Parts: sequence; structure tokens; C-alpha cells
Amino acid sequence: MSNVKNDVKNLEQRLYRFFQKQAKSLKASEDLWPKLESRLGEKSTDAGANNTKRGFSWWLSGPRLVAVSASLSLVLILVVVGSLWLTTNHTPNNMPSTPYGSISESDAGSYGSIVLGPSSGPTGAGVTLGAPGPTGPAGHDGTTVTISGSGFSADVGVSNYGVLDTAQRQVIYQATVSLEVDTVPSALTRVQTIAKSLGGWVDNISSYGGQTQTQATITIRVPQDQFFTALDNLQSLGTVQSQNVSSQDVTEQYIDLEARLKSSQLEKQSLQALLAKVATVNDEILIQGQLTQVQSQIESLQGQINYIQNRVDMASITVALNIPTQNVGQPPSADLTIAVSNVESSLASVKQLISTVRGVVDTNTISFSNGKESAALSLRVYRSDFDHILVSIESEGKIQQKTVQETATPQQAQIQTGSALPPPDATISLRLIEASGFWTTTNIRVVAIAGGVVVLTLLVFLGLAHRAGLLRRKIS
Amino acid sequence: MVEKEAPIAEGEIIQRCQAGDQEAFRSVVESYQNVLFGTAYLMTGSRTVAEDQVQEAFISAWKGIGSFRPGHPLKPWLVRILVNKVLSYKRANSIAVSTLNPDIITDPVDDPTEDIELKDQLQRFLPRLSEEQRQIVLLRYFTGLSIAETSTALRRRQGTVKSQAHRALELLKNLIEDDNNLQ
Repeated sequence: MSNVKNDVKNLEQRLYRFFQKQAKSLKASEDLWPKLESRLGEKSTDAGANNTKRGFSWWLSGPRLVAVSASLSLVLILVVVGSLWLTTNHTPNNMPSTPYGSISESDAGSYGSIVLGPSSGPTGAGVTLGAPGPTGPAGHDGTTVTISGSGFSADVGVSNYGVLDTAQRQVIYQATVSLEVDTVPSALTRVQTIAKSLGGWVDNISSYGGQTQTQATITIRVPQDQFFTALDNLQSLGTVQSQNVSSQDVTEQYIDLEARLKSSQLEKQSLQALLAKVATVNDEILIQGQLTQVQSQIESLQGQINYIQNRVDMASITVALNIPTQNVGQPPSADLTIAVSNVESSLASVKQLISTVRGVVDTNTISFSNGKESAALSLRVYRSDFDHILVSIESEGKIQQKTVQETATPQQAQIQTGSALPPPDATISLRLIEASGFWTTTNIRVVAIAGGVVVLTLLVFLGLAHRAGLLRRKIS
Repeated sequence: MVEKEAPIAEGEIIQRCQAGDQEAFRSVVESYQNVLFGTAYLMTGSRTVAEDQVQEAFISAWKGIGSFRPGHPLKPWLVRILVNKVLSYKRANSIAVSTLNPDIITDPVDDPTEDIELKDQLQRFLPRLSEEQRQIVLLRYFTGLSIAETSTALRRRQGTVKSQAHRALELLKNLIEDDNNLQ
């Protein structure tokens, strides 16, 4: 009666049809999605934890949010307390003996220096601010920005000198900026243009690297009120690698020199008046001698005052220019053929590996030929990852063919945080082929070791048995 | 020579899910909820447990979608998560209900003569298969996975799945053949 075909293929088809009919009667409840949706909402942060595109909002969640909030609150409290302390306790008596602020620990304390950071970046340096002070040039991500000095605070000036305001204070501004630019000669020209356009001049230029000029240092002088404008303009010439802004408050020294000058001038007037009244030649010679000394002193003091005034009026900025390291050298490349036991799993493993280092799989082809599976991949990774990625890929199996082209300067340019990532350019052409047969190198080693262990165990056993007389008894 | 290419539409949906798009995930849920529910039901014999485990599987899938490798089919990955959930649940609650329990196989609607006979035979002969073989039969013929996808879902080597599937079919074929001869 039965029309059942008993071959396996037919049974397979019957089973498939039978179970597919079963499937039609098994439906999930219609409210599955609403239930799920509410739970997805609850666990959205967990879900994000495993998403590849992790945003800052995900990062700043949970315990990190608490930690960051606590840190920011602490910093804010320190800033407020520091500011209050400075405005209430900072008297001329606790002025630092050195003209520079924020250098030693004690000075940093008296000026309320605050260290924020570390910021992420190539140098891993932090941002040091001499507080409180005017708004200085903002630090770029991944760069070193140091602002220090005693001359940044108007408040400090008032409390120190009572009637002195910022305009009366004598502060020398200096800055050193290290910039990464596309071409050094054109950047040099633009720095000179900036200096001239702001009413300044070029103090000094030195360049290195022969005709190509891969490095140069230029010192410019600009009017004090154009100091921060000049810094802003200079920063736009390239990528800021490091920046150091400092100020030197010379008000005390300036006032002292002026007082001494005034005193000397009064002395000179007195001597001149006295000279008009002398009766003898000896007295006249004596007074003339003193007058000459006083005049010399006046000129010296005036010279010092002029020098300080010049340094105060014209701020100094030293700019170091260099080209990016990525413009030097060609990217490394490799061509590999590896025999693996399982092409698909090795392929998945390689893809996973590439994705972890932000690499790119350009092409990916799996093919079957003569009953064997093989895969061809074209990969790109960052130069810094090239070597260890190559080692990891090689560990997937046995190397059949390998060609590697290294370069003299394998390091790609440092990646600035916050800026767009350049595409990876170190290429790897990989071919994964299925290893044939049981007698692979690994298997031969395993068999050899296992055989050795078995033989050794047998020998030990026989030795023990012989010593115990078991073998002799058996033979007899 | 055979070229393999990943399905494009599904790839796009997966990328959107990985970017946190819940609407994209909803389309994934709607596409696979019935097959996952059926699979879970045939493994547990309980609609309530099956629904719970399908929910848990989808939640885990949402949490782990970031680790999913684009270019691979989604279905075996989801089935693997579900199978793990169900097996963990059965272990944790000491549930001894075997996969494809004959009592939970429903009556076929179409072509009743042949199907009722097959149902009767399956009810008698499926218990003769090992649990692993029953899982393979379920995933191959109910869930609709290929040998490669079944091996992915059960985390077993393709060769093992292939031989177990063949043995299961051979055994069923022989048992059904003997049964037919007796009749």
C-alpha cells in the first residue's frame, strides 16, 4: 500500500516537506516585537557596548559617566577654590623671587597653576594652564600646549600693585610653536607675511634639509597686542604639534629701573646746580667727575629700560616648521600564500583581525577548484600595524610563498585625534589554500612526539618489570 | 569554480543594526521570529518557554550584533544563539524534553494520507535517533539550514554534521522500510 520510496534522497525531500508544513502552523506571538522593543530600550547601553560603531555617548555612560562627572566636578571645585584663594590672599609679599611664574612647584602653588590631562595624542602630554589668566590660544587635540607665566592675570596685577592695571604692567610675551606643514619654504614665506602684516618683523631664520628644506626655524617679533592674533594665524598654517606660551612679568624690575633713573636724574640736577655755585677749580673738577658717573649711570639705566620696553612692546614667537613623516617613503606591501586546514575559518579569522586594526578588506573571493577550497584577499592596514598583522596572518597556517617589501620609514604619520583618519595604505595580498593530506608538518610533529612518549613509557615499564623479576618469571 | 557572494540587502540591514538602528532590527525580528519560535518549540515542547527563549535570543543578538561579521548569512548565527539559549535553559532547569519530541508534532493539514503515515512513523522512530541527530534533523528540515549552516549553528565540524545527518537518514530509512515491509 505504501508508495514510500526508500532511498535516502527521497526521504530527505519528504522530511523537508513534512516539517515545512509543520512550520506553517508554528507562528510566534504577534506581540513579540513590542515586548522586545521595550527590553531593547532598557538595555540600549549594553547593546551599544558590542556595536562596532561606538560613539562618545556610549563611552560616556554608566560608571564612566560617574567618574568623568566626579573628575570634572573636582576640577571645577579646584578652579573655584584656587581663584578665590588667589584673589583674597595674593599680596606683594608672596610674589615669587623669580620673574617667571609656574615653573617650580611653589611658584605653581602661588599662581594656582592647574594641570589638566593627559590629553590623548602622539606625545601624550597634558595641557598646563597658568591660572587665572586671559583666554589663550586653544590647544589642538593631540598636541602639547603649555601656557605659563606671571603676566597673564589682570587680577593678580591689581592685588600686587594696588593702583597698577594691566596696561601699566610690563609683561614680556614669548611663544614657541611647532608646526607640521606641507611644504616648508612656502610656510616660511607665510610666517614672514604674518609678521609684517601685524606690524612686526623677522628676527631670525634657519633651515635644514638641503634644497628640499624639510625643517626650518623662524623667530618673529610682533606688537604685544597682536601676540595672540599672530599665534592664531600661525596655527592655521599647519598641524600644531606642540605650543609653548610663556610670559615674564618685569613690572617690578621696570619700576625699580625707573625709580633709579629718576633718582639719578635728580642727582644730576643737584650736581649741575652745585656746579654753577662752585668757587674753586678743585670743587668743579670733583663735581664734574661725579656728574660724569651719574650721566653714565643714567644712560645705562635708560638703556635697560629701553631694552625691557622693546621686549615688552614686541612679543617674540619662534616657529619650528617640519613636513609630515607620511610624505616620506612608500608604504610596505606583502604577497602571501598560506596553506591552512580550514579556509573558511582562517578567512573569518583574518577578516576579524583586519577589522580590529581598522584595516580594509578590498576584495575577497572564495573559490572551489579540483575539490579544494581557496580564498584570495586584498587587504590594507596602517603601516604601524603591518608587521604584527603579517605575523598573525602567517600563524594561520604553513607559508607556501611570501614576498615582503619593507620601506626605510615604515611609520605612517601620527594620527591626530579628532581629525579624519587617513586611509590605510600598507597592502597585503593574501591567498589561503586548503592544506592537503594528513601528513602536515604539525601532524608529523604530534605523531613523532606521541610515538616518542609511548616508546619511552614502554621502555620504562619494561625496565621496571625486569627489575621486579616479572619478565624472568614469565620466561621461566 | 563557484563564487560566493554575500546577500546585499541583508548586509545593509545588518550594518544599520550595528549602527544601533532599532527599526532595522525590527525587520530582522519579523523575518526570523517564526522560524526561531518553531525551532525553539520543537526543542522544548512548550510554547511559553519557546517564546521566552526566542526573546532572549533576539536580545542577545541585538547585544552582539556588533561582533557579527558582515557578509555572512544571519540565519545560522541567530539559530546558533537560540540553540545555545534553549540548551542552557534546559540544562539550568533540568528539563529532559528531547528535541523533536513526537508528542508535539502536529497533525498535517495537506495530503493527509502520506503525511499521517509519515507522522506516525516519525513518532515511533525519531526517539531511536540520538539527541544530536534529532537536532540536526530539526535544523536541516524544519529550520531549513544547509550542512554548512547547521555546522555553524551547532558549532560542530561540517564533516561531523554531514555524517550524523547521513546516519540519521539511513536509520530512519531502514526503520521506515522495515515498517513498510511488515505492512
